[in-house]
Amino acid sequence: MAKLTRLSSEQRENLTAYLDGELDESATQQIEQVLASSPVARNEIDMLSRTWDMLDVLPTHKASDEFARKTITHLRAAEQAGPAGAAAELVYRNARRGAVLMLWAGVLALCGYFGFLATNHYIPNEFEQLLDDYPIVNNLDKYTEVGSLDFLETLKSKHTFPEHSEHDDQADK
Amino acid sequence: MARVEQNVNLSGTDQNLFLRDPDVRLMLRAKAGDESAFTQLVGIYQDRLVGVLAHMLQNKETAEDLAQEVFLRIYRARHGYVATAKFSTWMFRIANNLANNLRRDAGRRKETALNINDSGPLGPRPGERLIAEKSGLLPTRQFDKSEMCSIVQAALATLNENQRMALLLHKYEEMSYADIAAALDTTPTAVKSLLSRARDNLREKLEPYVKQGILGSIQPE
Repeated sequence: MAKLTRLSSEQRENLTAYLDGELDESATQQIEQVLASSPVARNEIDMLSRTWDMLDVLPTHKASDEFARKTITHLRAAEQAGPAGAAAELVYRNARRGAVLMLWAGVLALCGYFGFLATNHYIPNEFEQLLDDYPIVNNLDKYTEVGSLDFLETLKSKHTFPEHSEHDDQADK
Repeated sequence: MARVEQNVNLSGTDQNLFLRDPDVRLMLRAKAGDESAFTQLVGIYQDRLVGVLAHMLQNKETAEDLAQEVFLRIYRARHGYVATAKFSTWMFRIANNLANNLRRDAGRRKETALNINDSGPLGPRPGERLIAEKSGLLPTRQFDKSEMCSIVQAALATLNENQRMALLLHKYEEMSYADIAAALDTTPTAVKSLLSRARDNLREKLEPYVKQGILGSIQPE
């Protein structure tokens, strides 16, 4: 049964290298032993070999008759443009690359800006509430002593205290 | 022959070995200002380069444009040329880089058709569908050469770019793993895995045809 087990990945790689004549002597002997004892390996190498041969049906592409002439003409034209032409092409390529980078940087900056605005607008800030309440927090002791607004209204309507005391005038001075 | 484990580090002796490559010598003549040497190189490699790129890109016109760009890059680089590899290896490395750039640019512009390398969320891609549809016809009829060609091309298109390039360089250029590694800027061990996966994928797609004996019964066009 062991002879029918699947081949390891290393053995499969060695089968291909064996077909290609790329194995050293010791690895070649090992793979030949495997082939002698394993029908799976023999089937494998047979299929690899026959499917490889199927590549022979592919057409042989050749360069067109004009290829060499056109290529040499193209090379000469490029040569006549000289280093200036090559430099101009390099500058153009670098400029294009720079423009693309700038564009991406701009897009990223815009995303960052709008992200900041959105975060600022929609996500509540705990300190913002604290700042709004600061005048009340700052005078909380006084408000606690007063007790209620009704009491203050009563004092105001009875004119118990003058609008400006002497103490206030001195403080103003 | 332990080419798989071979290190690609260059020593002075290795550089001298590359100087034995007649195409390296042509390139050195081009570097020295011999225009005819470069014309010879174009003549020697035009069909090989266009052939590999046409299979790689599955479009001969684009392959010719890219091949022209490869020769232009080589021509412009001639003044600083140093023989650090066989000429063909160096040329295919440039070709592979340009093909990758082309694919990336096309991907960015989203002008190309859907990649047929993998099944997407909408089901099998056209290449896979073609293979599935054709294999569904087995064994009721035989295939003519153009149909088999479409099937093999579709199977080839299901490989990823690195697998496809490694496979094409091995099949059509008969490059060793070490040379493919140099062309793809990777290690021979990685090429070994790459080619193994590529051939496994091909086998998976083409096995039904082999099993039905289609291979030996391709009808002439």
